[in-house]
Amino acid sequence: MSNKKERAEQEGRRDFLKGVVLGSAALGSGLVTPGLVIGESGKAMAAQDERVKMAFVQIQPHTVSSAWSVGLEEVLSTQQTIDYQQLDGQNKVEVQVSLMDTLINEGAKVIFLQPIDSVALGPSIKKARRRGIAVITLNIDASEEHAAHVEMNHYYGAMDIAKEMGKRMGGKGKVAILNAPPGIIIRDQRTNGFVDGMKKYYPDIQIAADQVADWSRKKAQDVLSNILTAQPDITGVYGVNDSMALGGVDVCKQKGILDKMVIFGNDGETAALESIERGELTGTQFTDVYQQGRFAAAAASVFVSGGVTAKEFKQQGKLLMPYVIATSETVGSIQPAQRW
Amino acid sequence: MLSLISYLRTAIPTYAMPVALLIVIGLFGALAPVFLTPANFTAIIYQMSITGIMAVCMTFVIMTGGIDLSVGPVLATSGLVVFFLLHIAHFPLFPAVVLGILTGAVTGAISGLVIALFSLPAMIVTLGMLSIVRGSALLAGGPDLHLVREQPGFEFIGNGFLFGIPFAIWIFVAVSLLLIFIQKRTTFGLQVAAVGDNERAAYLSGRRVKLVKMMTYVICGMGAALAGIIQSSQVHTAAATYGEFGTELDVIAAVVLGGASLLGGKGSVARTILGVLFLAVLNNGFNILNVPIDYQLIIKGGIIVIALSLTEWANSKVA
Repeated sequence: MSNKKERAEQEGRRDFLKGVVLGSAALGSGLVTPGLVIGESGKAMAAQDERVKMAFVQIQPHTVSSAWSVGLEEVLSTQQTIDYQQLDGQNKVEVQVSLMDTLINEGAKVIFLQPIDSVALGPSIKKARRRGIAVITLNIDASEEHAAHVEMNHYYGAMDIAKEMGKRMGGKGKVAILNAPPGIIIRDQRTNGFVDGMKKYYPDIQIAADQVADWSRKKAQDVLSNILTAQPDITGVYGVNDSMALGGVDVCKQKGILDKMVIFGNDGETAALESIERGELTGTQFTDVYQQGRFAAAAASVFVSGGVTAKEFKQQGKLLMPYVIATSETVGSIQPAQRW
Repeated sequence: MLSLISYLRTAIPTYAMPVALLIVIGLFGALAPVFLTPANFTAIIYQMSITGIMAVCMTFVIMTGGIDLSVGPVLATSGLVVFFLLHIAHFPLFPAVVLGILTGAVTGAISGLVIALFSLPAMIVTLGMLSIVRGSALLAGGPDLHLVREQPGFEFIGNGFLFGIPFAIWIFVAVSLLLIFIQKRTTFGLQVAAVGDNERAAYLSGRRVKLVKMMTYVICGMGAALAGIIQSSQVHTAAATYGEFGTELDVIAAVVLGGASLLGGKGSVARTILGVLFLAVLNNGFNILNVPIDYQLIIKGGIIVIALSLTEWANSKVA
């Protein structure tokens, strides 16, 4: 009697343990692959609303990249099925490479990339393409072919800056360029566009100085001050970005020569637009970078929803952003919501 | 021959930098006479004032055998703190600036405390601090540029003139004189050299080694914070991204060019000023002569390597 009772208790415990194990397995499968559901036949089938991962790997926190991210998120969040995240490359190639690897391994469908180095990120881009992941570069192109590149119109915009600047200088005089350090492709595009534009439209204007000011307003103040010491007859200044152009404005204001100078920047950030409105900076190339983010996101959404993978691109796509040469006459047309 | 070599070994650490400086000034003056004008010399001192303040304040840290890699983010943070205090909390200028400098002091105190108490390598601790301070600054200010508007007092710090000389130069001179005084005339100055020269001996002779080490980082942090306030004033903006990577290297290069040893023990505030001046003269001359950046990098790197090699050779023991 007691043996029967013990056997029954043992069987009961065994059934309970079996239930726990089976239950855990069922729960576990749900936890490990939450996107899978158990069908009638007991086989897993893909969930209808599978989430898609997209990420933006920026160089480092900056006004431009943060505005791109706003534009990207605005479009991607409306698609309902896309998980988007912004990642920081900490201004280090190796960090960007590592982030790319992680995203590839996590099965991201699209990677938006602002590469620190156009060449060094090549192997990561190649690896992504092999896995069918679309890489869309923003502003800085990469040497390795990828799905698409969306950029501010650096070269032609700089040509237009030269045209507008030359007109305001009366077609003659000397210009100083406050340049970025070498090693980044947009430096060459913005400089070459400007130099070629001057040659084309106003060949009598001389590029008298071209010095690096590290994208920095402070450094630009020092550099332009030194240049003007040596060449006080310079009447035109082109800053390859707005910060450097604003540094030029600071120096000319301090020297009391601002009214004789024609100073142009590039980018179109809010501080530059406000300076134009105050009658200090002569102009800049304005690009709506929120829109740039939206365009990139729109392309990505179409690729993914249309089932187009990176392997199916015959060649790299390219989109040049529309722009405005903002001067005192045109700056009013730039709406507050477009300013960044 | 041997006596000439030993004479050179004694003379180089003392005279190499002033002689090199005079040679460079002479060369630039010959190539561009405008280089030698008083206005240009004023411009050079003005341009070196931010790096100069940070370098003289970092001299003590390097003399103790330490290093502070967090000066860039501290520079950015102090500018942001003053911006928020002036524009959002509507503080008067003086307390805002004092609190901004205190931010640097606190950061330096934390680094110094960790380094001194746990005997951790300064490079690792301040590298970590660099990351923490930059992250905190980004959390507070985001990546945006914060325009400083309608603050004439604040504008004066970086852009004003006193007796015809930029106010930033006066600040640099005042900080330098104060630190030279501390180094030459106070026991703290002697203790810094003693700790750097032989930390154990300094400890065994009853010096408060940990406190001295911590205080050097406090001074360094305050210097970086003051530099950040001047920079924010000069560019009319504050941003968490200022003091980008490379800022600390410029500062360390200036201190080392001034004869300080990265191993500690050797160094002088006055000679650090020469180191900063040397780099500022090179930058100014290159801009005036419109030297392309590739040549600038080669020449500047070459001069630094030659100067440091000569100093090391002179400081090494005769075989």
